[in-house]
Amino acid sequence: MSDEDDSDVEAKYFKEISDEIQTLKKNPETSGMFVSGWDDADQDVDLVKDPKANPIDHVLWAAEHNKLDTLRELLVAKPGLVHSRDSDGYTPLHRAAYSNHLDAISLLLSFGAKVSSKSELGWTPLHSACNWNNYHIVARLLAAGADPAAPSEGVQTPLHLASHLSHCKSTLLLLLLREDLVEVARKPNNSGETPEQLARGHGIYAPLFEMVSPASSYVSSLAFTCNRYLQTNK
Amino acid sequence: MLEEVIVSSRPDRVIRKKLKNPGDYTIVPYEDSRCKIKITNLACTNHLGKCEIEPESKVFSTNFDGNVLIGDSDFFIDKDFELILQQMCSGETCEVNMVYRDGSGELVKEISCDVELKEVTEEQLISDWSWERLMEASIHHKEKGVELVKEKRILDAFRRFSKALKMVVAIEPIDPEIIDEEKAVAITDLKVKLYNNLAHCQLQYNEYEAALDLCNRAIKYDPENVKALYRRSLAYTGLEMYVEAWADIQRVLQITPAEKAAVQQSRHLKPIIDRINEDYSSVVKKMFS
Repeated sequence: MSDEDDSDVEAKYFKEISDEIQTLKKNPETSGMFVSGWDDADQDVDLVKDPKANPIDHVLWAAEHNKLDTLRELLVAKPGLVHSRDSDGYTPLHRAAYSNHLDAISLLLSFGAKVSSKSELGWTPLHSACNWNNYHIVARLLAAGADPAAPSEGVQTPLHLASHLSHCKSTLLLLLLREDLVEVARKPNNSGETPEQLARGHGIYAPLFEMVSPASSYVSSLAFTCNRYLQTNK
Repeated sequence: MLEEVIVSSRPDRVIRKKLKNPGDYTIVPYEDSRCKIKITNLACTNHLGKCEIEPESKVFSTNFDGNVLIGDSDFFIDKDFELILQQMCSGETCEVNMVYRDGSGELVKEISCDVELKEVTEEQLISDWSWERLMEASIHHKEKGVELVKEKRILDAFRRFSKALKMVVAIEPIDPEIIDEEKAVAITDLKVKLYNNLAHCQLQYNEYEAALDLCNRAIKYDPENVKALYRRSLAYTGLEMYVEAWADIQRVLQITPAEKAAVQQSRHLKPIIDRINEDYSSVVKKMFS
């Protein structure tokens, strides 16, 4: 094979990747993968000009960049800002979740941020955290009552998003340790893929799904294994 | 102004909490966290008025010492109560309400109280546990389960074994750089024991398909495992797959000829298998006569 051939192959390969990226960007379910550094940089520039001109953008920016003092000041002055949203419906909690800022998450929760708030595409902050394997955030959001089975517009649950990552073990363990995800692990999204199938296709962590195998998770003749009052009624 | 939140909801029981006093939002209990709590204003009612909370409950017993280790409760009410603690912050006080219904939707019990989470030890997330710690935790839950089986608390035992299996599976995928062959064998052994114990519990509830699934997993790792073969024979019998049941029990008897339960199972299957063989030979006769 000559060098020329190689570069041709390479060029073709790059074209494929770039086409793939374009398709993923257009697909609302996967476009979240491209919350790019460029966008952030643009926002910074805008905000540095006059961040206080728009408190909504300011609070979103502070959450995304872990500016805790700013965040606290803004929220003390105007507690309602905790429910701010950007044009995609992301709240400060979403921003802090995908940026992996645990302190900002705790602060926002203490100001009453809602873990169940959904973006335009139906993503909760837990979706955002799972999509990036930000497992400390995942644990904190679950402790605040976030629903690991909440479906997005594309019927993706946070478990689906964690499962499609190649480096997802930390998040998967937190989710699969729970007792309420046996069904969700087998629930298809809009593309007909279950979290277990996604994990099999995207990495080496599919064996972890044995943690939620039905036979080892519940006794099915007792609809809910733990409530004794159901047993005595049978 | 503070709203009630649903901690967990199923048709048979709903758990709610309402914040009274916020705590430190940076400290929350995770698996294995030690919590110091205080319960006040405890009430338990049903449609007739006041009633007793179950005697097996530790959290709601009169001699409760205020300590809860997250993930280490056995009784279902205590486990449900843990779910509440897992949605509280250190220092928080909240109003708790737990409603239980029976299969027909009748109210059986409504427990309400105030809970103060006074102290929480901060724990590593399970994702950061070493494989040794996961193994140790798995063995702990398995041993607790074995005790519960002895006490005939099969469901509580099942949940312990289930947790133990989660912990040992969490070690996957096994990295030969960290876990040498000998340790990998110990991990597999533990898994096989857990499959067997889970299968035993499933069989107590006539859940033959689940038991079959579990025994198959055990036998895949250890084809000569007598307990797994014996329990699979019971599961096949339950599913009326007598030929398979017979094969398994004969295999058991080859390995341990004197095993009483196996001899009994074999005796039970013998007439059924003879009839099947008779039917078969008569069919063959008809075919070739």
